[in-house]
Amino acid sequence: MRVVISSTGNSLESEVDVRFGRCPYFVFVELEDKEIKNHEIVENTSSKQAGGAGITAAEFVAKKGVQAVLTGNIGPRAFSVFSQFKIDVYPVTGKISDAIKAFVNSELKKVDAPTGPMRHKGPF
Amino acid sequence: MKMKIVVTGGKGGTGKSTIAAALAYELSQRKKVLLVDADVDCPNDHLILSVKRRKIKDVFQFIPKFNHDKCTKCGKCAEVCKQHSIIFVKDKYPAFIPDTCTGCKACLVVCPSGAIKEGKKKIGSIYRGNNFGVELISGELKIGELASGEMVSETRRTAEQLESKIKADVTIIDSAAGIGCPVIASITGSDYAVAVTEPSPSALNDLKRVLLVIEHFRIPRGIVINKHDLSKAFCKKIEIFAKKNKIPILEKIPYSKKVIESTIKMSPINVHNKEYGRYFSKILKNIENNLI
Repeated sequence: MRVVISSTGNSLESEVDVRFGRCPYFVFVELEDKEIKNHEIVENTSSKQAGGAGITAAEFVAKKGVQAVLTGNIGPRAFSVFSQFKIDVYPVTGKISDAIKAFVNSELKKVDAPTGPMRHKGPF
Repeated sequence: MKMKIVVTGGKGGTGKSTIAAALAYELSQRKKVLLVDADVDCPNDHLILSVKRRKIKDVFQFIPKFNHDKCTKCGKCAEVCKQHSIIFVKDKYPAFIPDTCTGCKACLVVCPSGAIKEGKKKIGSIYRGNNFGVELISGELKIGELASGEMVSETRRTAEQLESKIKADVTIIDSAAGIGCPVIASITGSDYAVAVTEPSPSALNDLKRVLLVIEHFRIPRGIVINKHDLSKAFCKKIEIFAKKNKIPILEKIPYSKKVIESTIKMSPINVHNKEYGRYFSKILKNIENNLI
């Protein structure tokens, strides 16, 4: 299966980016028998967008045929795109390689609502 | 004669709402007046007039409603969606994000299999109230919604229905600042445009821009220089500009703390300061003369 992780850097040893739509890199991994068969690191061009980065980034990774998304936080629009496409989202932190290990060992619980800043109520 | 006067001006804070409310109050002494708060992003004429508004209707906008049984996953709807509200990925049903949709209906038109039907989302509400003899219609856009121009148009449609019901002689439309969609929707179809400005470079710059918008609609217009005595030199500049372009100066209103005090007390300046009545009477008289 194909999985994507939002990353702060361009290697498997980089840290997971807490942001989804505006992370600098996406790490795509092809998993087979709990092992990484191959991987591809792609720059996230939507991170430079003025607005709607979450939607564009979600469209980009969905078009790559991923079945799961691993990220720090996910905003309401990107989350909505994934849930309509029936692509699961899992919250992760730490190193990319550790996040993948946790995923293949079924240690993660998928999120059922957006976790990003737009979810929070205002101050008044 | 039924008349629609739009109060606009370009720059924010020049006194559009203060003057619109005062004009409405002045007119209400002898005529039936309807004030339309068309600043749907931040309406506050009800706060200037101490009006407790009551909601009379919600405003809805088209959004596509997808029928997956009929959808052939062709992706044409996403292709034509300028707002990027419809996302298409091969072999999946299109995903739709309602908050960025402005209701253009291109998806509905282009869908070859009739899989898109008319749905709707709430984009705001229209309120009504009255005080000081002024009838008020006030439009308020839902926070985060984009269709402010459509919200202004719907507020004006509602106002027009009320106009004939209450037999209003004059409707005053208080526009938002700027020159964008909501301002264009406020100016169009008006009989006269009052451009409120103040003696500052940014106000003159914005005044010139809004006058070009008014020009486009070929609506007679005049300028009110509010707080004119804050810079006599710059006020002169505005007057020279107006003269050069043959735009009448309807009135010059001096700066006064009384205006701020009455705003805080939530009543138009001329309610408790009768001496202010003459400024607004003069504006109305000059509009009348300008229209003959």
